[in-house]
Amino acid sequence: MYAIFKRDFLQYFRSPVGYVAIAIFSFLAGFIFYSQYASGAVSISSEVISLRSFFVIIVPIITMSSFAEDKKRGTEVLYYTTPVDLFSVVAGKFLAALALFAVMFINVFVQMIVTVSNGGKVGYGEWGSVIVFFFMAAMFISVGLLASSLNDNQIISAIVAFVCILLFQLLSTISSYAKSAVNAVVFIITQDVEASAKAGDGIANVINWLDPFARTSDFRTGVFSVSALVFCLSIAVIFLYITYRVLEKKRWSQS
Amino acid sequence: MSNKNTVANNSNFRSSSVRPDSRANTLKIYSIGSVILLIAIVVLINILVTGLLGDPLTFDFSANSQNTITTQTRDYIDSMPDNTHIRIVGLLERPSNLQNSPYEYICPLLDDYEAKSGGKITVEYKDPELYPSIISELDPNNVYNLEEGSFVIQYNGQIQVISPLDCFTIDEDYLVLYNAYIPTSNNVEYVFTNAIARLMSGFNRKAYIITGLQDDSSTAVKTILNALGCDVDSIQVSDSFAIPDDCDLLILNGPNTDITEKVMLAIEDYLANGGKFICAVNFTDFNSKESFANLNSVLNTMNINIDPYIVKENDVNYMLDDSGYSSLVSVNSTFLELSTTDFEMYYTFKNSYTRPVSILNNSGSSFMSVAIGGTSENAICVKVADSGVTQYGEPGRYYTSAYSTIPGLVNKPEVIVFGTTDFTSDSYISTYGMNDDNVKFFKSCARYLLGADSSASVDVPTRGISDYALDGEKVTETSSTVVLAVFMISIPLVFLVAAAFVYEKRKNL
Repeated sequence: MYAIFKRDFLQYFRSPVGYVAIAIFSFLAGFIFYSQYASGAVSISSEVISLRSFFVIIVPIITMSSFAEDKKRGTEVLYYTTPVDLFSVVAGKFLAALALFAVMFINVFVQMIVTVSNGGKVGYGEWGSVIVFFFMAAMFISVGLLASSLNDNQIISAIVAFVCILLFQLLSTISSYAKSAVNAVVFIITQDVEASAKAGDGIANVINWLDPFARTSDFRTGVFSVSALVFCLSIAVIFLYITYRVLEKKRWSQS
Repeated sequence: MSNKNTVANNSNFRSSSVRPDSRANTLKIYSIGSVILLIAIVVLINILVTGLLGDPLTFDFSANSQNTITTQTRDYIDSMPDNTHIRIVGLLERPSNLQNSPYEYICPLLDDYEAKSGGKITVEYKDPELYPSIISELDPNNVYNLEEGSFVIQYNGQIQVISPLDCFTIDEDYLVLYNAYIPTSNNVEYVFTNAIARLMSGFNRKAYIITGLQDDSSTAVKTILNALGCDVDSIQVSDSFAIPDDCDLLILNGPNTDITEKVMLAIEDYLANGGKFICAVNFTDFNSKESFANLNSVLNTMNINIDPYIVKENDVNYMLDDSGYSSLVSVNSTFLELSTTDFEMYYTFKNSYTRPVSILNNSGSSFMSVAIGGTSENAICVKVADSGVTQYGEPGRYYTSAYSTIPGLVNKPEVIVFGTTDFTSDSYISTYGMNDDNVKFFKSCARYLLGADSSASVDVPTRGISDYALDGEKVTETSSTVVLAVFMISIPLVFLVAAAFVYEKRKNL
């Protein structure tokens, strides 16, 4: 696994992908930080939680080449012919992408130092938001890896990852639309305002339960919820496992 | 023989060509099954973690622990009978994004009330548009005019209504200058816990604030009185001015002009019938020439007078600014003896732009009049006239607040007079917060005059708003430009150049 991790992590810096991802992340983090700094008050947790919105751009860039590139070059066959566990391959690539996120995040750590040196506050709440950021990054990277394992075209992989992450991001909007729709349908059937409202609330609660952004929004106010971290980790495990099964399937279908 | 071998080989080949398909099918079923099983396990784990361990595994790392109820509230909730059921209803959909809204401080704290109450308190959010019956359910007689966005606490059919704006102290100066609300203090827990205590105790008093003589509002005083279990209404000064019969406490806060004769007679009548009166005046540009003749006429019936001067402190140990108009005052020892039983004890208060308050010492009177706060022995009084500022009186100790009553009466009138609005003004309270000694003393005075027992209110400390402000001296235009240049331009640019360089070097590989 370490060999895969090392190869993939260094690969990010042997191609423009890693640099471009870091440049985009730095620009976005810098923009938020500068806006806060210029207004005279910097909340690092607010900045970090806002940066969650940009997973939809950064993650596809990082993960699009993970498996798709190997497939395109034909080096994918090495996974199946060398005595290496396929889950180690998936885990190695996953950790490499996560490590790239850690490298990107150095920028935010520097901003923390600037904040403290300018009389601002960086407390436990800020570190809590950093932790949840990495858990969410892990979750979305696993989504991106699955997208990359499904085909050999990097662009298609990136688009699939983009759409999947966007769907996660739009869950709160989807839930409010679903709520309105269910409200309307139940009202037409029952003519009961409160029954329709309850049905609408029910469907919204189910969708919101799946929304990682809603689950982690309280981190902005300093609330540190382990259950939100467990949720992100769970989703990551599911997607990594599915990625592993996709690779495993190929091993058997090739024989 | 060779034919037989060929047939056997063909047969082996056929069977081996079938085997991978069946294994692939098995693998496919295994793959799908294992993924479904994993998803089921993960959902189960998440339901368990959220439902059973969600609260114990949720920590409040915010500044001032703003999302966690204090031990005072916890102790109060623990002291409630086990079968207590208090319902808190937010008349809104729970906001999904709490950022930069008052609900950022309210919703997580209410979650904590519910989590730590052991089922005694439930919190729910019902948008009246979606649940129209919620209004009539909470307020069947439509007494409270419940508005969307507010919170209702219900216990035993009684309700208390809390508006989100009631939960904060607002920077009054900023509000006046820019017409924008800047919260300076978070009173969410203070307001909610005391509203619950008020419902639980059944304590109910009514206070009236005289309006129409001043520009400033008395929002903070209203918040304090509400928390003490007291409904607050205002009485506008007019020709038909009258003090309602249900008035348990009358407040005159920071008048710029004297009360009218009509108001004077009404207050005199109110005091003659055992009324309780708090009066706070100060010395400002708007009322420097005002001697409050009518107000003094009322106060004189209670053995107190407000003098038409401004107190100037000369002792550097007491002075809070170079002018001497803002200073510390020490609490009179006679009042300290009284305060051990009736008032909370404090030793010093902050006073600024204060009028001296004197005890008249009417001979043969049955008054019990006690000065509360006093200056050092080196203070003077200053008279402001068109010709300029002149010293009035010899250096000495001047009092800035006083209490007076007539003991022995069944309905004894009681008056507390402050020569400054540093106990009652929105401006002061928004600056120093609810935990300031002046403000706590005012709470103590109001509690005493209202006859509130300790069960009607809980002494919950208020908290500061999360403050992420940087050092104003370090954040300059230059430093902002440096931040912009480094974080938003230079760093991204360096990596983009590196990306171009790497691409150029490796494009032909």
